[in-house]
Amino acid sequence: MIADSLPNRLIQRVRRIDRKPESLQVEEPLRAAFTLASAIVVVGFFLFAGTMQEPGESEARLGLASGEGLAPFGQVMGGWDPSLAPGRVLVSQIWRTIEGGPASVSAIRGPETLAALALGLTVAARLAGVMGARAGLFGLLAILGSFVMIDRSSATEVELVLGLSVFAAIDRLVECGSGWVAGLWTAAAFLLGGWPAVAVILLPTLILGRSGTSLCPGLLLPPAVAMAGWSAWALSVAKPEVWASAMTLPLTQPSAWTLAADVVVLALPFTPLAAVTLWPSARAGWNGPTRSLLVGWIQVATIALFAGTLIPGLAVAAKIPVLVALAMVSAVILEQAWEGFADSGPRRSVLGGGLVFGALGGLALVGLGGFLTVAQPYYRGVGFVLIGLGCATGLLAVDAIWIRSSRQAIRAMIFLAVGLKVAHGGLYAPEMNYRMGQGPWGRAIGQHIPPNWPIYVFHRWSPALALATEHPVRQLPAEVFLKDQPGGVKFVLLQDGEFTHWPEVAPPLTKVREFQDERGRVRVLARTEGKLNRRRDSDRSSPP
Amino acid sequence: MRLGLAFTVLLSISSAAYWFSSGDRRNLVVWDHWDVVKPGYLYRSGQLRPEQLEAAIRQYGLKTIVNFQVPGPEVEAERAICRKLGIGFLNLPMPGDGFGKEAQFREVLKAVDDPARRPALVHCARGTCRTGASVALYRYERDGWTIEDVDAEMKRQTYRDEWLPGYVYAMVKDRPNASTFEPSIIRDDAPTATETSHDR
Repeated sequence: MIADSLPNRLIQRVRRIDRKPESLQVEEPLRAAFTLASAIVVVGFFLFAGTMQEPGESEARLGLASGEGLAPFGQVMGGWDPSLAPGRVLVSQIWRTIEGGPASVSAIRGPETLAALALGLTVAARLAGVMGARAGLFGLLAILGSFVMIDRSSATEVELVLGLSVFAAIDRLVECGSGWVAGLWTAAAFLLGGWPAVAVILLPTLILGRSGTSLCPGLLLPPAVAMAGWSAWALSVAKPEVWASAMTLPLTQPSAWTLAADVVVLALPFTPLAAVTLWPSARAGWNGPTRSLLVGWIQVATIALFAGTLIPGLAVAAKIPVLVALAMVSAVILEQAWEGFADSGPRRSVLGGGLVFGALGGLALVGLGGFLTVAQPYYRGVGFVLIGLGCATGLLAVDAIWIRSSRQAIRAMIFLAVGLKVAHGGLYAPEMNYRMGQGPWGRAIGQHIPPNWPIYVFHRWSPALALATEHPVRQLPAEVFLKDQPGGVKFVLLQDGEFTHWPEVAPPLTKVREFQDERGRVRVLARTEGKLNRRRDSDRSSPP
Repeated sequence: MRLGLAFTVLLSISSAAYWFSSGDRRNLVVWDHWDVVKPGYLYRSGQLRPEQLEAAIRQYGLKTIVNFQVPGPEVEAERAICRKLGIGFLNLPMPGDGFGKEAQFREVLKAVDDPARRPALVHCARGTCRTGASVALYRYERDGWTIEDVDAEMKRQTYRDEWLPGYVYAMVKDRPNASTFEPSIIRDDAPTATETSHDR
């Protein structure tokens, strides 16, 4: 049986390699140009200013867990957090260990950025394999130039490390069918995002029953082993209630009725082009491998969309397959439009879309840039750039109609994407950090405590504030337990009333500093009495 | 024809830019350097026109206006507006570079700390140096911000020099200091007599 399957595998592999038509063979100088353009997209467009935004609440919990030891659940403020999968925490822990120092934003966003990059490059490679290098470049642009990749914050509710594993498993299923590799990726998806990720991977296989994809042992065994191993580990270190909480937590989420609309917005500005596939003449232009790739992903995305909308807890894992499918379809339409549609319907659609989005987007960029230039001196430079990009976008969009050039419409959309990136990195992210970020408030507290000293709290503080202190934070159930904690002097963070009514049975406190928060409410940093016995600088790396 | 269209668009944008910038020079477009330091507590700006100041007082319920400019017609006009609207006015004249006296900056803290006198608006001519220095002391003393974060906020308000965050930090009473980091002197054992003579 094994002897029979080996030649079949070889034949399949040769077919995959051989299926690229002659017309897609790109000359070396042109390939080098596309590679250079891809590098520019990755570095200038994607990596630049990608991690500057401060973390949201869920990201901050992950950041706090990355500063703790490895466990079957994330550990936040000294307690289990069943919503944090061990695989995702481990990735951030590895990043933090390599980087050194306390848990920080880069331990959260760094892995997300690398995952998104791997995802974008794989999508580009798939498209380049079936339609040529330029289609790959368009694919890279469609996915890395989308809102979700520009922002990459928790506000988008997209987890890119988890998304990469889901994408890799589905990609393997679409390309090569079921097998051990797809099974191992599914196991990784379980450890990164729990059973909802496994459901998003397996549901399309179960429902569609594509040739070559089946629920074979190779696909099912690895996630089953991962689930059993994780469960055994979890039950050995924590109460069964915590394990049960982690398993049922996704089901407590509300259904994501707006998932389809959310994904379309997150995939802007290239998403509207996917609608051009409604023209039969546009679909007729796809060669065999392209059709196979796109149909596979459209089927998967459709199932994922329905499942993510209807089944509670699946929305986060379902977003990535849908986003990838949208990006792939958009990229293929971009490639077809660049080559020129034979039929007038798709051509007019591209021109119309370019005009609407280019003109409106251009006007918005010019308006925003003008306001910043005149009214916000700090953002004047950004304002000038936005005016320039807005003018270019608008003029190209109008010119595309004028000369009936799809290429000009595509150029307009690319300028619009660049404008969105500049607006996000130059204005949105710094403004959100200044207006909403917890960084300055947390660092204010942390600077009064020696490095690595923990801060004790007695109720749940904002995880973003706790992360910004750059110290371990431990939540205790009551003040009296403070005396049982290891080490000498302990620092506690309290609300004003908590400090005033500090119980007599608890260790006496000395006020270190009073702080106002962003609404004027008072926080008190206090410490237990005694000598601090601060370690020497050479000993700072280890906690007291 | 295409060039004509491009030229028309660029001409329109240039005209709009000129109109806006000339209006901005006369403080007609937006409230100059207006920003919220802490809602309900402290606001900051450059020199507002009389009608803008009245609008700000009504919109934000301001109870104290702090003006850092040297006495003159503008200061007197502002004082008159505050009297008319029944709110407090505080004139703390200091050099335009923001190097005021500590006592002057502490007057701002007193106003903001008093529930009967807040919210307060602090302003100078452009809302950058003198206003920035007073807000810096508020950030240090009340919010406990680090010197790096205060410096970043001043830069955000277009303060381009490096001096004021450090100058104001020297006035701060409650900062990380020796009473927090005890013992404040940590030394290794003294070298032996032999080692000392060998070193010589």
